[in-house]
Amino acid sequence: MKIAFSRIAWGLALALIDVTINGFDLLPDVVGYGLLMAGLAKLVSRNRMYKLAWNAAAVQLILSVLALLGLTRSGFSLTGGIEPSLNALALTAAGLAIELAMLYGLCEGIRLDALERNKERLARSARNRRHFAFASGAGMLFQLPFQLNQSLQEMLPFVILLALCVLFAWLSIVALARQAGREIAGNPGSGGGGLDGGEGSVIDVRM
Amino acid sequence: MKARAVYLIAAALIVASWLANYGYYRHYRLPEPGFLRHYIETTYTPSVAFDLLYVANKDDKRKPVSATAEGLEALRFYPVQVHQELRRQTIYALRGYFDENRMQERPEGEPLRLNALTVQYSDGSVREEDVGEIIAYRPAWPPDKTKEPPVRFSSGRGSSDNSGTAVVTAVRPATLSGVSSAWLEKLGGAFRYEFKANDTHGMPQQPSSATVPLEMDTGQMLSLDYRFQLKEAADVLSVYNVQLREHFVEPDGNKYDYIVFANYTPYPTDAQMRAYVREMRGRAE
Repeated sequence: MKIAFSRIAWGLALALIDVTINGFDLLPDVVGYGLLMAGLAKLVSRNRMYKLAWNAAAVQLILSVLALLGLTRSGFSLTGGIEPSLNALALTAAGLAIELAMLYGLCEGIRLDALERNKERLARSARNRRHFAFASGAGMLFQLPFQLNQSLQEMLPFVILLALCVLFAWLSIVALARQAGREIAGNPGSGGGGLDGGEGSVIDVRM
Repeated sequence: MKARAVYLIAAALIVASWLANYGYYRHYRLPEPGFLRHYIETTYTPSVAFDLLYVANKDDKRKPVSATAEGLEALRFYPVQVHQELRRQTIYALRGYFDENRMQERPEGEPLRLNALTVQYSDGSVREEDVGEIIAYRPAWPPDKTKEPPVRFSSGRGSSDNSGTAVVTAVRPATLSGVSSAWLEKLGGAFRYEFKANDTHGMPQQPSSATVPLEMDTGQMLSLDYRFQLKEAADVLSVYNVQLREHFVEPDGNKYDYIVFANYTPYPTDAQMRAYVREMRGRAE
């Protein structure tokens, strides 16, 4: 199971980081969501929250394939000086809402898993990070439509603050996945720490 | 239970934010792009140009590229330019001029009055568009250059506050008998002008304001100060090209019109544009 959480952590990190050169994404989100789905596929039988996360990741994978093919374009530059269009805002909001559902499923899945294994600290950590991700994501979703009527420059400090909160929330969940990999891998009640047939020794993540 | 309530409240706030912002956004979108209302006096000669202003929502990709008018075969347009960017709309300027190479010999004709132009758009479409009112004076072409005018241009100034001054100097004795423009009656109190006369040494006369008829001696300077004072919401976004014709009569009875170009080009604020959009919405519904 450790490999599953390792894939989830890598997947989240790759989906989060966008390195583009001349508009070409060196780390396409498709790879990140693919890894996430591969990791979550091993966990879906454990509780329905992982299933929710898997479904949301699948939708994100489809959207990122469409984006890779140039059929959709979500997100916008905060510093490009171009006002985002209604379509760009709506797509960004839809992507964020799906992402929130995915993170909710992942955090809640980890929390339930942790409770099953009497890992109180991990369960608390999962709940807190879920709250943080939800609060920052909901704040972002709330402010996005204001950009239809306010100039981005006027709202920039607020938008940047929210974007940083979202970024930290995502990073904290990457760390949570790593922590879950260490603490709840193995059978329920075993105290964790086991590997799935040694897979984790072949592919591991160091964040 | 408490957590569910928090999620529901947050979801309700997000939905309310989107609905309210989208409603406001829709409300201040132009129902249809189009030309502002123009009141243009122009002269069908190559030295005269005029701007047609077209307003569209920012995400509207279609722009006018050219226009034609029956009777003004030499009318051509420079590439469309952005005149002003507002929060939700963009105003484009299409500058029309009369191509000298296409001017054909003609006698003086009656002024041409136009309300619509045939406009070609960037997407290839062609539409008959109401642009307001254009009066094109059609003097004889080529012009008779043998007549020496009794006054010559001395100095001129135009300001962004829609005011300006034009100064002429008499080269022969002449009497200013009056001033006229097709738009003076329409503008009424929204357009003020005043003559000021100087003596031949450049010193202002007392009082400096002059009234017509005004007899001018050689070397005497005459200045015409004008100012647009458009305040009505419907007028603020109109375009005025006023040709103030100063009518001079020489002692031998010869008449000469000196033209002062007084233009009002709107640079609306976002609030004025919102008022304009509301008015357009009202008309469309």
